[in-house]
Amino acid sequence: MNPESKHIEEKLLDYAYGELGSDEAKTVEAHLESCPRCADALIAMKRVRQTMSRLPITPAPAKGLDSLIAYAEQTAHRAQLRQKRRPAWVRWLVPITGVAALSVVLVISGKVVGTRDLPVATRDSPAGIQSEAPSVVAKRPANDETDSQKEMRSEKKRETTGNEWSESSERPAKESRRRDSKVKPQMVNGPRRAHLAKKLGDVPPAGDGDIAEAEHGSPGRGHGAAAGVAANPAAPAPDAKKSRVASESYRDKVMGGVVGGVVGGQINSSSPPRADDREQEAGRLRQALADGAVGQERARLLLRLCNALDDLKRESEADSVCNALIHEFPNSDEAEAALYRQKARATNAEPVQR
Amino acid sequence: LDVHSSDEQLMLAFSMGVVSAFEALVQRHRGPVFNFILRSTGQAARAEDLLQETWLKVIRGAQDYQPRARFTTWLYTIARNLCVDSARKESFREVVSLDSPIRRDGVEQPIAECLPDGQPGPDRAAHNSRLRPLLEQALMSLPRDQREVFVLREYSGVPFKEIAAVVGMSENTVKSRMRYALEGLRKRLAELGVDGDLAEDGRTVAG
Repeated sequence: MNPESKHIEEKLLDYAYGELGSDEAKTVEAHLESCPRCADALIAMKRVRQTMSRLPITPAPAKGLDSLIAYAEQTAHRAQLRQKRRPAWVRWLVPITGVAALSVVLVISGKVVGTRDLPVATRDSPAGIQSEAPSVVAKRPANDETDSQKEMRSEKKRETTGNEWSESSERPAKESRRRDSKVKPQMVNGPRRAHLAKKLGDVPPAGDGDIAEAEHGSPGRGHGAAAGVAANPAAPAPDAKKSRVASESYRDKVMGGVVGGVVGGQINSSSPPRADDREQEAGRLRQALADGAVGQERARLLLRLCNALDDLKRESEADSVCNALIHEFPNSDEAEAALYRQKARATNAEPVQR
Repeated sequence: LDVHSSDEQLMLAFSMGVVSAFEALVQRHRGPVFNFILRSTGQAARAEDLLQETWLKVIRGAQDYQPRARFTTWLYTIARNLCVDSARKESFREVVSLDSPIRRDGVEQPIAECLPDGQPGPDRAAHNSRLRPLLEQALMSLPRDQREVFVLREYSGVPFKEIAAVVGMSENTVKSRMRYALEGLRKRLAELGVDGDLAEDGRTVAG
C-alpha cells in the first residue's frame, strides 16, 4: 500500500458521507480512478449504507406531545420572571405592590382566623405565629410557604414526568439553588402540614387557594400574593434565612401573579394561562415600561408584553409592541425573538399539529 | 414558519418565551431523536419514555441555554446520556427485543402494528416486511458504541465532529467506530443472506 493510498483510505469515510470540502473530494475522486482497492472499499460502504437505508424511519409517537407543549408554555412564562438582575424600578414597584397585597392579606387572614377556629395550628406552630409573632413578619413568609408548596407540587409532578437533572452536569447552578431553597421548607413543613391537615380535618390543605377563593371571591387557581397567603395561616415562623428566600419568592410573585397559578397548575393540563392573569401581567408590564425602564430591561419587558398580548389574542397590539422592540433594539436577542414571532405570524403556520 | 431560522435561533427565542419556536424545534428533531433512541435501545416502550425525558430536559435547560455548541449536539447528548443511564439500569433485567410486544395505552400490541411501513407498493412492502427484521437484527448485533455512532450518522445525519462531542470521544475514535460498524454490518448482512441487488459480492475492504 502506498502512502497516498493510506492517506486517501482515511478520507473515504468522510467522502462517503459528504463531509469533505470540494477540493479534498476532488482529490479523492482522482485517486479512486487509479486505485481499485479504494474504489472497492467505497463500494462496500455504499452497499451497506444502501441496504441499511431500507430500515424505515419510525414516526415518533404522538403520545406526550401535548403535555410537552403545555409544559413548554408554562416554563416559558416562568422563565420570563426568573431574570437574574432586577432593575431600579423594581425596587420601588415591589414595596408598593407589596403593601397593597399585604393589606389584602391582613384582611383575609383576619377573616380566616375569625371564621375558623385554629387552636391546634397555633399550638403546633413552633413560634406560635398567630398569637405571638409580629403580624407583618408572619404574613410575608406565610405567603412564601404557600408559594413554595405550589412549586413543590409542580416539582413533584416533574419528578414523575421525568428524571429531572439526573446528570448533574446539565443542572444549572441557579436551578439547583432554587430547588434547594424549595426543598428545605418541604422537609420541615411537609409532614407537619399533612399532620395538621389531618388534625384540623375541616381545613383545606394550604396552597390550594380554597380559602382565598371563598373569602376573596377570586375564582381560579390562586394567583397573585393574596390568594397564596390566606390559605395558610398555620405556617411556622421562618428563621432569617428562610425569610430572605421568602422575600425573593415574594418578589417573584408580585412581579407576576400569573406565575404562581401557572406553576401550580397541572403539567398535563392543556388549559392555557388564565386570561385575566395575563391581562394583569400585561398591565404591570405596561406600567413598568411607562415608568421608564431602559436598555435591556426595556427590551425584555417589551418582549414579555408582546407574548402576553399574544396570549390574550390581541395580535395587532402585540404586533406593534414587537415592532417597537425590533425598531428600538435592532440587534438584541429580544428583537431576534420578536422577529421570529413576526415571521411565524406572517406565514400563519401552525408549526406542530396538536 | 421561517424554515431558515437556525436551531440555535429557535432555542434562543424559546428561552425568551416564544413557545412556537419550541414547537418548531420539536417538529424538526423529535422524529430523528426518537429513531436514534429507538435504534440505540432497541426497545420501543422505553424509547418513548426516553424521548419524552429528553425534551423535558430541553425545556428545563432552556433558561440557561447559551448557543455555544450546536443545538443538535446538546440535544443528542441529552438523549444519549439518558440511553446510557437507562441501559445501565436495565443491564440486570431481561432485555426485550424489538420483536416483543410493547404496551401502548395499556394494550399489548405487536410492534410491527405500531410502526407503519412507509414504503409504497405491495411488492415493495412485502419485501420490506421480510427485510426489516433482518436489518434490525443486523443493527442490534453491533456493539453499543458502534451502533450509536452509526445511527447518529446514518439516520440522524449528525456529522462526525458533532458525534464526537455527543459521545465524548475524539473524532478519530468516532470514525474508527463507524468503520467497524460498517464492516460489522456488511458481514452480518451477508450471514443473514440479505442478498439480491444488495448482496455482498465477495470483495472486502481489507482486500
